[in-house]
Amino acid sequence: MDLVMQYLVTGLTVGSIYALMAIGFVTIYNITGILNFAQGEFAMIGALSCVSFVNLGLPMFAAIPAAIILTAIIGFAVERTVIFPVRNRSVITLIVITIGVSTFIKGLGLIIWGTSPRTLQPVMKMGPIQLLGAVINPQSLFIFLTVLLLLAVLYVFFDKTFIGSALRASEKNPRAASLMGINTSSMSALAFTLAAALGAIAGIMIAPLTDATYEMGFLIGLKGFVAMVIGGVNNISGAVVGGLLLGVIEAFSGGFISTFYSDAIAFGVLLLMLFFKPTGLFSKATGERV
Amino acid sequence: MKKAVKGRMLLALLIVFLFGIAGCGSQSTTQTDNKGKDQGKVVKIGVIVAETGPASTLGHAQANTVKLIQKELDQQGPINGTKIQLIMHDYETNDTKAVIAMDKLISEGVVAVVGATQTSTTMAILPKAVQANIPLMATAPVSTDKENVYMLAHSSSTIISQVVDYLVKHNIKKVAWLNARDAFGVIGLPAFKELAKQHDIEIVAHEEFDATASDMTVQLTNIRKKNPEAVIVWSRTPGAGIVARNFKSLGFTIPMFQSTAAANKGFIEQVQGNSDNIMVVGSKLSVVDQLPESDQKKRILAFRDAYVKEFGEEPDLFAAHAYDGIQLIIEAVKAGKTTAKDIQNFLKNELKEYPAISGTLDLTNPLKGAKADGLTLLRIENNQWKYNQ
Repeated sequence: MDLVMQYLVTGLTVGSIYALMAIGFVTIYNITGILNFAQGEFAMIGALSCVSFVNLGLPMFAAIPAAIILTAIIGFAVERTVIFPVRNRSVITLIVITIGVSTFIKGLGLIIWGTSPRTLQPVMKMGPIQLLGAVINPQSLFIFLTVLLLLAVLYVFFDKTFIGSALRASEKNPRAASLMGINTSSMSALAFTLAAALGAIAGIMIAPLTDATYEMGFLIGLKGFVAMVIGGVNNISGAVVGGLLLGVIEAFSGGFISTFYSDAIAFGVLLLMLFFKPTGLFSKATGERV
Repeated sequence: MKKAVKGRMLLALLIVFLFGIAGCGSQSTTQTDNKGKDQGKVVKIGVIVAETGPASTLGHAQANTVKLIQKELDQQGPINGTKIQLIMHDYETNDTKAVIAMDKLISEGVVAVVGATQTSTTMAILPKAVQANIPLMATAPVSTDKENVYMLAHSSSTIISQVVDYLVKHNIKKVAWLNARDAFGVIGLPAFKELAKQHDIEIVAHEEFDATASDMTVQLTNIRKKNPEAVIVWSRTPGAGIVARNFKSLGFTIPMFQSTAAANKGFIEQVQGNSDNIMVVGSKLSVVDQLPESDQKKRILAFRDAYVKEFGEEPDLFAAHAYDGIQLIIEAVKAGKTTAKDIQNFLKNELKEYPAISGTLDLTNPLKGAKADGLTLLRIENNQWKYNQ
């Protein structure tokens, strides 16, 4: 029982990290139709710049927003410099560009911060919590709360505000949206800014748990992408469930089968998903090609 | 007319090509002035390090060391009328560039090559050194049977022997093994298995993780089921630090041993306050101030102080390997040997043993690497390395 509980807790902890990443993926995909493979690098910038701000002597509550804003600005700059000029090209071109952006940002991170891992102190200093024989890191509860909070905020934003509806409209039918007076090109910039900010939040939340390095973005970005595919590519709450599911699958397969294959199993799930239910668990198949 | 245009095009191409070649070698000769025609001989030593690129965290200190030694050599003046010139090439963490640099060095007539920062790169330049029959002072662990290779780094079994000594001394018989799933992580276990067998130590669990993964609780939980008396972790950071942190939060009270890949500032920063049971195999260089008085201490201190004075930061083990490699050749030059063949002869048959910074080098068996006397088990106290003897 202790074991099962510990695997479950670990799975949910790791899963909520993937969920945080997946939220950023879905946001950008929903608005622009692009898979942003630089999402993990946004998390890296958020985490490492937050560490730098703290080291500069900024208090935590100021360093976190500063890091989020900085990353959002970088997200905006990325969209304006490399996505906007080629916005009329095929989606696949744009996706490949994001891979290039990811490599570029990672290289930049290496030059600025070096390779040694940086630690970010958790907001609340607490010892690990014991629950039914399992050990829970308090930071993972924070991550969980953040996921829930973001879910609520994004739901309100996309479904209840004008700008959110405009964002969704410009993905569904850009032409109709622009006829309705929506400036679709600024929507794409807004999407990248928003996704970068979400990425930064993810990076800052997980840094106390995993430490921040220039290469942290790749693996969690990839796992976030898998979570998104499992949950449904255009459904934020689906992606969150997908992330948690992926984390739990990894933990249990590592615990009961072998840790040698936990990554292989996680990506095996991705393949099965793509074979049998490419639209994801929680998204209804639509007639249009997105 | 047409011919003339074509000719001119060709000429232009040729010029561009020549410029390309000239610009290609990212060579930075640290040698300062040659003052025209020197009276004495010049002995050239080639150095290939990753001063830039991802491996620069290791290679940067090596490049610094080269600059330091060249400065000292220039101040000293010629040795027995022979001037030593270090020719350093930055291979930018790119094996292909290292091989090109190697060709260039050989064509310039170097008597020895020191490098490279990484194991894969060293393996790539090794055949060239064998072909040209010049000594290769390998600063990264390599496994080869070639005669002209001198390994200055510690082999996996030398590093792990430090841990095994501790286990034997404290009568620990059941050990769990955890390693990262990368090139460094997987080489430790075979060496440990062999030593464990000799000392009746049982490996009760073996788990793997990704060196960049976010959480190793599952691996540690699996290990706990087997009730080991100690845990050995073979991983670079950040994985090494995350394991240590999970280890603490799961409430383990048994000792944890980490490899030389964790013996750096990054690891200390990661485990702050979580370091009660952790011991790391590290270089005596990191704790030289705490060593008891000895010749070894004086030697290491001299290198450390000179380095700190020049660059304002502490040298690491990789810098020490590069230092040892160059010093060996300088020793040979001091003894009047100035050709690749004479130098090799001198190292193997006359010098035989050399007290290097990394540890004593047995030059009659140069593929063994530095001996364990340069290493020690470090503890962490107040976010500093603590000598543990």
